[in-house]
Amino acid sequence: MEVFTHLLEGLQGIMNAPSLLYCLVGVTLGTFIGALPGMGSSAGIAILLPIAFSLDPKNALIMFCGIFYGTMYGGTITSVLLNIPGESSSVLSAFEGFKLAKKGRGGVALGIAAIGSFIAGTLGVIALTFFAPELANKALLFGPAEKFAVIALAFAFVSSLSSGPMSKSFVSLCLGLIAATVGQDILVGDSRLTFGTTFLTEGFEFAPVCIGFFALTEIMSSMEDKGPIEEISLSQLGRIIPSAREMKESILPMTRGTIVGFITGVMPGAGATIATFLSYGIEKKFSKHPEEFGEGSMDAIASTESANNASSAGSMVPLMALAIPGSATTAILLSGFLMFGLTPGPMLFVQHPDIAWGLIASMYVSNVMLVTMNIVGIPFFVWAVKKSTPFMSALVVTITVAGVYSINQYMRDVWLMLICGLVGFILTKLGYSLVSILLGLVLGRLAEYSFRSALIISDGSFATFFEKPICLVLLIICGIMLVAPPIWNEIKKKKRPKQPA
Amino acid sequence: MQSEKLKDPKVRGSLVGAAVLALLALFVGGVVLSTLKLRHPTTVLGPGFYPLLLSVLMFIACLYVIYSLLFGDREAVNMKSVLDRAALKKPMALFLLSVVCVAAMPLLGFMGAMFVFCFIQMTYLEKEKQPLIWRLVYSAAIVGGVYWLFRALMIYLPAPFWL
Repeated sequence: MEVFTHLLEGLQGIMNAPSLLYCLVGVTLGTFIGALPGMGSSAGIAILLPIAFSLDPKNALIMFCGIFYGTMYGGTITSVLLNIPGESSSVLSAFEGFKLAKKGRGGVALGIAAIGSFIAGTLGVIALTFFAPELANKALLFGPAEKFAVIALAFAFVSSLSSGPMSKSFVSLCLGLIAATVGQDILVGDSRLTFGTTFLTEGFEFAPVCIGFFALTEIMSSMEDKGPIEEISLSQLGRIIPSAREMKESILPMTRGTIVGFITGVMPGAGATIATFLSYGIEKKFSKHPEEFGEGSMDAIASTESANNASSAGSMVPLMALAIPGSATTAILLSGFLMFGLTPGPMLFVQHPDIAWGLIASMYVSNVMLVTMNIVGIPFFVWAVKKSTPFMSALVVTITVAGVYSINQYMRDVWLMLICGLVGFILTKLGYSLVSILLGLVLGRLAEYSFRSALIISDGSFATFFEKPICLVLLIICGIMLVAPPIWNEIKKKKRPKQPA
Repeated sequence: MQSEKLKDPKVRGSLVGAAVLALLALFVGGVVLSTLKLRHPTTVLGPGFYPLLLSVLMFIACLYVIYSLLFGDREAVNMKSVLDRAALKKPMALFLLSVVCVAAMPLLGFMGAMFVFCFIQMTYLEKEKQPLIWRLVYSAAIVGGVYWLFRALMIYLPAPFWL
């Protein structure tokens, strides 16, 4: 009952013209960014981070969440019509949706995707409404050792679940954690790895690193020649509103996608991409028409798009309850919170209930705005994406340069962003995970502080991490997460029949 | 078998990457050992302990990546086109253009430098080149629009030094 009261208060807090306007701006920008090939929610939020600094914190965060949700909806448009996934989580929508569009059912596919996203997004936010405050209440009892164990578990999840080999993801994580140690030591105050410069005394400024890694790297990657694009014209779209029979057939795939998506989203590092692939696999087993998979399946679209959106709601649970981001976008959102002097996690619900509940309430409103916009405004977004393509890269680089400069009015931040853009591009090409680096950078200081504080309390005894039950369980799971995948791979390798030389 | 693997440019590229990161970890470890204390009288662990631990872990992980590349699965490479020079031409050109324009900012100011950036980017790096007049209009609109937006937020972007 208390949850409903808080939620209503949150809803009341955002039912004013500025908050609703920022919500609308966020979802519109998000849909547009999601529809742009090669741009994702992380890049979109990173670019707007410096601009939002001058806004009211609640409205800025509402706008960021709107962008996050909007990109999930928007990614489907270019996937279905241009066969270009706006984000990696839209790969399967492109795979199935484009084939449906070729058969003249692209409009229905987009309609089903929008409705599925709305249902999953709303159910996901309902689950978030109940889980996040409950988890936050439990987290209030955590000491430094438990906090370190939770962060270590997030790191283990990120290393073992991110795409690519675990060893490379672990190297990326260490790189991010080492970068987080640059600057003054949090407990003693000694300068670490600053090489005598004043520039590094405060550590790496987060926004330039983040914008370099995500916005510039993505723009550089989008410059690569990927061959000619085959596209579906708007006249081939057909009707957008699905029939009652189509809706009835899609309800179960949507439900399955929502459940898989939300659970996957809660796990740090798993994210929307894994959620969509998992739900695709599960749906293929349960679908009444498994033969349609790969040839243009409406069940696949309903399931993967629902999983995609439910995972974004799920990924907000560890961020809001424990201040642990599980993906690049939530890591950037965390930096948005920190930029305004707010720390998500248990204390957010206690110290700033208006912001915590306002943000949750805004997610319901965002979903309503998005489903309307994505059913009515698909032709507009397709038109806008096509018109803006010739100058989008130039616009993004100009905004990022201006935005990064505006943070401290120092050109050195712009140089740092450029260097991070190049490093990020090279590391991506080499198969290293930028998400792991970013999580290491964001959570590194908190991890070190919790680790060392726990040891101060225990007078230097490492046994403190194994004496407390929660801590022990979390660290055991952590160990399993790190050890199980290589062992599983070895077993699989041994089972595989040897090929003749 | 290993020499066969080394002929693959992707494996070679990945090996170089892992080796550079391993050297970086060694360098960080060396700097930490030579400049920071590992123990401290009041905080038990000194400021050097944690970064040293991380650099050791990163070094071991890099060695494991190298081992996997040489003796393990093909999956360890996990890269697509690092040495595809034709595909890399445009991203690298974009980066160099950004560097030149940011370096020219004290001389040309934000508006001048970014106008040049936008115009050159749209002329040489876009897949579909627009007519000259549209490239000029887009460049002016982007730079003017961004400058106006930040001005409205009371943020003043760099002006040329001679103004």
